[in-house]
Amino acid sequence: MTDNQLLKEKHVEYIINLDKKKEDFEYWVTEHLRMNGMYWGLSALSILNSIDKMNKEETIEWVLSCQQPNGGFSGNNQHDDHLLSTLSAVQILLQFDALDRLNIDAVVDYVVSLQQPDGSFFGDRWGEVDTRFTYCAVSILSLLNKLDKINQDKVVEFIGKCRNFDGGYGCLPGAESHAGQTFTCIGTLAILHRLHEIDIDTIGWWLCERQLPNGGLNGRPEKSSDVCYSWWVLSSLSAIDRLHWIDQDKLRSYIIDCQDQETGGIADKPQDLPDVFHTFFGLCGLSLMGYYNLEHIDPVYALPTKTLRKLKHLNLTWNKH
Amino acid sequence: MHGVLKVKTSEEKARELKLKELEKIKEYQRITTKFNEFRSQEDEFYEEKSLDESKIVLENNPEYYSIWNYRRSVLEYLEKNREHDEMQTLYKNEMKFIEECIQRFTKSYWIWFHRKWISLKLDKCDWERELKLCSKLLDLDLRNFHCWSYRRFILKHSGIPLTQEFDYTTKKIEQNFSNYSAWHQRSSLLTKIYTEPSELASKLKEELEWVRNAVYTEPKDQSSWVYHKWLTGTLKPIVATTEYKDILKSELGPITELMELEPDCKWPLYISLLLKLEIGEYPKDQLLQDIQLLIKLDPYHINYYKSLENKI
Ligand SMILES: [Zn+2]
Repeated sequence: MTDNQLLKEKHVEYIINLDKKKEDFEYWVTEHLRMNGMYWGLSALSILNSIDKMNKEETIEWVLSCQQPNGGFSGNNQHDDHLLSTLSAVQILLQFDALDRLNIDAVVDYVVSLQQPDGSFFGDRWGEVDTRFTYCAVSILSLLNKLDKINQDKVVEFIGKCRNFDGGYGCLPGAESHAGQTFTCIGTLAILHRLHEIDIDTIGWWLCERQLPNGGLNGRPEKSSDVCYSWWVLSSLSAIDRLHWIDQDKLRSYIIDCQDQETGGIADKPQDLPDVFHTFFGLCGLSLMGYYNLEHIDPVYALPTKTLRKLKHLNLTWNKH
Repeated sequence: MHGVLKVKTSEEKARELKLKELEKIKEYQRITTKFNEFRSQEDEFYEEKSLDESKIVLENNPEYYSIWNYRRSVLEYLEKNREHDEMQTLYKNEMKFIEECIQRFTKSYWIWFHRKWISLKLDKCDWERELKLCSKLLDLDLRNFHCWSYRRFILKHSGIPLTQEFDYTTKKIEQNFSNYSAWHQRSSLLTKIYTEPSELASKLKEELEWVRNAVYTEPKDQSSWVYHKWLTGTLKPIVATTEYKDILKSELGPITELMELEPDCKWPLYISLLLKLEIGEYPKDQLLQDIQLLIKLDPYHINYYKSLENKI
């Protein structure tokens, strides 16, 4: 591809056909991830201004059917609740303007019950701790305007413990910096309006060093590039107002090269098979950089800015759109 | 999906592959349906059989997190009406099962968490053996962060001295200077081993000597440079200002020499610029020139380098 063309129609088609992929083994072994998958697909359609292509009522019904008695949402019917799928459920309902159909108190109780004395969050009752879960919890509560229900200072303290020698963040205190976890930590601090407490230039430099000569971004030093980091790295840079520290034209070309010309969809690397996860994050990257007149995506909430603007209680200090 | 190459095949071959795929799906569905039927019949009255029946699904799909949860529910249930020794045997068997899974699926968050959960149920976990398992996996993939994370978990619960792990990072780094995970581990151990500021300072100064070999051997590799940057930054608050500046000046010498040997490499130039900015006695023209040269060597990051102009 030399003309940098974004195959919008093909990507829309790719996403709406995802549920018809029942002849792929992959479809069955990722069944437990359907809530995340639905959020990735729906949000990709939002970026492409095609959310009406999705069966709204059927999707809402299915999402609501995954709420468990404890208030959390499972990844699919017949699976267990988890913060990862609970955030996706809230994000889907919000984009369909259907939060009024949600048992909000039950969700809030669920999330609050998972905070630990050190400020961290369990992902579910089994007790795994990860900064990804902190982000899910804080994002859910802030979207539902219930942040006052948790100890926010303790959250910030815990995130501080996950900061590393390079300025980045990992899953746990002592865990190596990773662009994904750096996004969740910066996102959490942004939502709590505590970004001014961190050393922006050190982490900004580490993030911009993720760009490789091929234009793509990696998630850790000395690793290869991958389209999903177009989101984890770029959103973090955007939240701290350092998007211009990388070469955006080169990254755009890299993402465009990862498109599947035949089927639509975007892959992790050029010539690989596409999937919904990389399709969404590739589009997110392009949207953040302002190419192709895509719907603008907020770098902290990973939701369309226009959807977030309807929530009057949010203060998106990092978002100029 | 990561790293799955799209392959072009003939129509005939494609048909063949499709049939195979459908068979695979059929088999997977048979397994999951069988387990779900079993599960609905037992109605939360668990037995050892529950552990056997659920194994096969996880062997085929380790990401099926609800079944890892199920296994823990079964064990919690059995704990209430089984002898202590019987339970210990079950936990040991579970460790064996996880070990088989972990070697096939080395990057599953769910499996690694399950191992942590079970290991704490054992009366006496053989932590040295656990460390060896990690070392074996890290020999195959030196950057597996789940594995590194499990090492830290072992250190926390075993009482194995941190200095032993520190020596392990030395070994891993000397094998491969690009092992960023090992550099990271080293940085996080240092501040835990040397809690006295004066002790830490003298160790960090030793480290500056040690890292020099790495930057000279692999000047294009950022791992050791990031570590170098961290060493000087960590020294700043724990030594006197005059000593701090002397340390930086003595670092500048060998790095400047390296710049001459590697004129196309941005790293020594970048790190020396940061050192000069910290020392603060260098003419503005010279610093601006350095920034221009950095932009020439690494044009993608032009805006980052320009931002350094404000620090002059
Ligand atoms: Zn990826």
